[in-house]
Amino acid sequence: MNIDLQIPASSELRAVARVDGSALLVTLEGQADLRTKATLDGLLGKVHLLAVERKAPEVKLDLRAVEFMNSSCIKSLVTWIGDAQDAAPTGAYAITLMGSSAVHWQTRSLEALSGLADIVRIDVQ
Amino acid sequence: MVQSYVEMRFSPSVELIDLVRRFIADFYHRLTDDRILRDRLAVATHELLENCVRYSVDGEAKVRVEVSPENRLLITVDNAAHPSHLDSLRKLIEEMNSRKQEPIAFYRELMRRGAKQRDRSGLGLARIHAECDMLLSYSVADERVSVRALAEIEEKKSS
Repeated sequence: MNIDLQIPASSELRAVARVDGSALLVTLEGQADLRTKATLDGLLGKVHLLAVERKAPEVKLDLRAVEFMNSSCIKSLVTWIGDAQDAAPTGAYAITLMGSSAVHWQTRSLEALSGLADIVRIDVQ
Repeated sequence: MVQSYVEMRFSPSVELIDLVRRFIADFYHRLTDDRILRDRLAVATHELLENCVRYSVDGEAKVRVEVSPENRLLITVDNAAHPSHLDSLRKLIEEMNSRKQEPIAFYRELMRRGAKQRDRSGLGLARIHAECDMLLSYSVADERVSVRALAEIEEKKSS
């Protein structure tokens, strides 16, 4: 079942969310930089609320089609991870960050993010 | 002596960053066949350009990419900056260089420090060091700051 995240259609960053078993799967595509940081912040805020409301045990964020992500947007992910940690124990959920080994920034950034918190795991293929 | 270089002056704006980065990325294509290296350089260039946009106070910035005969690639961005930013920059680069043996650990530490601050990242330069494997330095002259990122590159194979 798809979920409408109400991302502006003209945004350089596009997102699709759906329920994947018991998890939420959010797929991003495009560019994540200063132009789209506000979009990403809004999106991650909605995903967090959805995960807590639905008591989803896991959110998978698929970044494989994100061509580039700047440090401000990486910081958005850090803040989201912090929000997910703060939601424990009642709204606790795990985060899986999915990336491609063919995209350098994904390999390196996800490696750095994976060490931030126990709730984060990475799936780089 | 510089083997080759490209230099651009531009008015630092969010809209121009992507354009300038892509232009310089074409230059990287001419320099090396190593796609991973090109990606590293593109990330570093983008982060340095965004710093120009955030901190430039006079609406003008310069970026220069040069390669030495020893195959060292140096990216330099130059912009006028507020004295308070210069102080923050000095502290950050000194702390980063004092911990240059553990770039990922330092990068993560900055992530944790800034996790609750929603208005700024403060990660860009540490990212260049940790993810792009580049050494950073800076200099200040007449309230203009130059930030430099240095990488070793391999010569492009002739086709």
